[in-house]
Amino acid sequence: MAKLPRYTATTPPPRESGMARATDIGALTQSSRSAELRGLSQIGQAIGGIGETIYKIDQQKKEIDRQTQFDTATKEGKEFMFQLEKDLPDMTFDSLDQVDAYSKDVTQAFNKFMDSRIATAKDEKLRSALKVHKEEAGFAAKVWAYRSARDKWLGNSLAKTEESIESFAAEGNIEEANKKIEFALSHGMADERWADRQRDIVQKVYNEAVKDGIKVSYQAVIDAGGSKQDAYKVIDAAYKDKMIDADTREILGNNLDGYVRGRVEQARAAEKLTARQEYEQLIPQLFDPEMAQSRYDNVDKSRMSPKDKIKWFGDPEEGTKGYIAGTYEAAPIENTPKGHSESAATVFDAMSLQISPQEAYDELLTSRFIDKSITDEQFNWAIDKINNPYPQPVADALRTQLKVNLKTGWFDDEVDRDVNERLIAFVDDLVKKDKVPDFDLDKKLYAQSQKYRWGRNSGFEIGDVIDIDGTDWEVVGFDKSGEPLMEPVK
Amino acid sequence: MVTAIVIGAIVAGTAISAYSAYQQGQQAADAAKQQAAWNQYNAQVAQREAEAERQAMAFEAQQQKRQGKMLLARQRALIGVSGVTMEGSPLLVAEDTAAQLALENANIRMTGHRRAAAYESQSILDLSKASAASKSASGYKKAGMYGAGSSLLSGIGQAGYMYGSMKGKW
Repeated sequence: MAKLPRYTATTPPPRESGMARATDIGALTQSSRSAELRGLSQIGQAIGGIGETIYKIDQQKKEIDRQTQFDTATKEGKEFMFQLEKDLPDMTFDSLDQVDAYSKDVTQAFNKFMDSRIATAKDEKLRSALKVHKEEAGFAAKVWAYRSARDKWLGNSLAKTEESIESFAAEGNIEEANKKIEFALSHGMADERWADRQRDIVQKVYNEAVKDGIKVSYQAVIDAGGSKQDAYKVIDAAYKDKMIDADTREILGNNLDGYVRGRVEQARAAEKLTARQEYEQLIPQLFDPEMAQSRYDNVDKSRMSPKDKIKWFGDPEEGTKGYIAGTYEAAPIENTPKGHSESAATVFDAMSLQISPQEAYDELLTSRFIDKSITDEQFNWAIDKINNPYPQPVADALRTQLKVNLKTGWFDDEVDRDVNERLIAFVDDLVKKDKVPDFDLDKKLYAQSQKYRWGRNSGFEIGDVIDIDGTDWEVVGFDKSGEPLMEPVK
Repeated sequence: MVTAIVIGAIVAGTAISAYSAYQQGQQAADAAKQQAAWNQYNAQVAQREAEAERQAMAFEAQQQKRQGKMLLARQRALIGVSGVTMEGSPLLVAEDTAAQLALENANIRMTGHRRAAAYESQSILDLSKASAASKSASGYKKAGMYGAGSSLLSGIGQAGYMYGSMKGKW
């Protein structure tokens, strides 16, 4: 018998509870509050950041102000020191105590100045910076003041020592001079190089003193009327005593020769000066009849001769007599070419130093009072020009042109004289007005001579500018027919 | 004026930051508590999963035992019908079947136990997490207070420095 089939359940109960696990708990626990708080925190930071930014700007501004005030105060400090420095050259220091005192005074003055700036500083930071600057610069000022004053003191002491050394050497006291050098060395006032230099100076000064002593001696011999040989004996004696060497002896010998020559020249110059002074006194008298008469009354008339030409090296007294005699004759009134040539030649010879002023006076006096070839006007002009000569370039140019004008041969001597006198008057006017051209004076004088010779009736002057058909032409001279020579104006 | 603006801004910013830090601490503590709650929830879920696993395992074992009995009964019935005695090979087959059925049943139970044990382990782990999160909540609270205090201190210090600096004290 078959059994009935049985069923066995195959579906088990569920293996899972049906509950889901919580995953991503972070997301589950996150709330909007967190984001809100983060935002709030950022707002707080932003507000704080604004405050910090404003603070930084304020600090930067204050820093700039502070720096500006600091710079101003330190600059004023430097100016203050500069003013003190300017006073230093006029100060003298005779001791180290004075040097110390000056250094202290400068430091105190600077500190006081800086204190006044610190007191007005706006904030503590600036005050601190200025205090630091005061300390640093104050120390620098102290060092500067001490060194400067000490250098001046040393320089002063050294200068005095050098003066003493030179003075002793000049007196011939070499021993004392050397003591001074050693003193300066041992007291640290100077170094060996200075000492060597001083020793050289001592030797040179001593040698010079010896030479000067010998000079004084032989000059005294000459001055007393002794001969050159007598004076040489003084030099030789010094050489024999080994006071001087052979070179110095030769130098002194040459010096003696020079001295003797100088004495002779001095005598001559004195003699000339006396003669000139006499002339200067004489000339007014010659033009004053009463004064001339009084002198004339006192001379031996029998020996007078108006025709005697007394030269400078002749007897002045005889020459004077001749001139005085000439005053009794009528003054020449005719302005002759000869008179013009003579007076001009004398003046320009004197100006170019070909003859002495005394010789020039003599020639003019002879022409006026003995030869009677020049007028009073020419005489006075010539005397004035000797005493007040033209500047050398003007004198040279004028003299050359005057000579040229006399050698033209176109007209007679009267015309030449007239041209030259006008030219001299023209130059006198230029000199008087201080309008002498710096260059081309010779060309100017040449052109002016043409004007006086040929163009005097042309109606044009040298330098006139004429407009011809729209072009400017300048008058630069005249041709023989009196027509102006022209050049276009550049 | 500028000083007042700067100090005002710094104080306001500091106050807001401090408040924010405190509140963030509170917020973090709340989040930790919530996390603990969710972990406890997960532990319960795991516990229930273990329970479900055990029930399923018991059912499968019971059903397998029942099917085994039915199979052995059918084998005995087939041997009886054929006239074969339960001696020799038929006996050996029946014994082998019984052994295999017992092995299968043991495997079903072992698998079910392991699965349940895994869920229980998960549950324990979740409970531990819940405990840790619960404990960290108070830490977050303190951290929030410390952060607020720190903000206040640094803000006051900064404001003081700026005030002194702007007034030229240093």
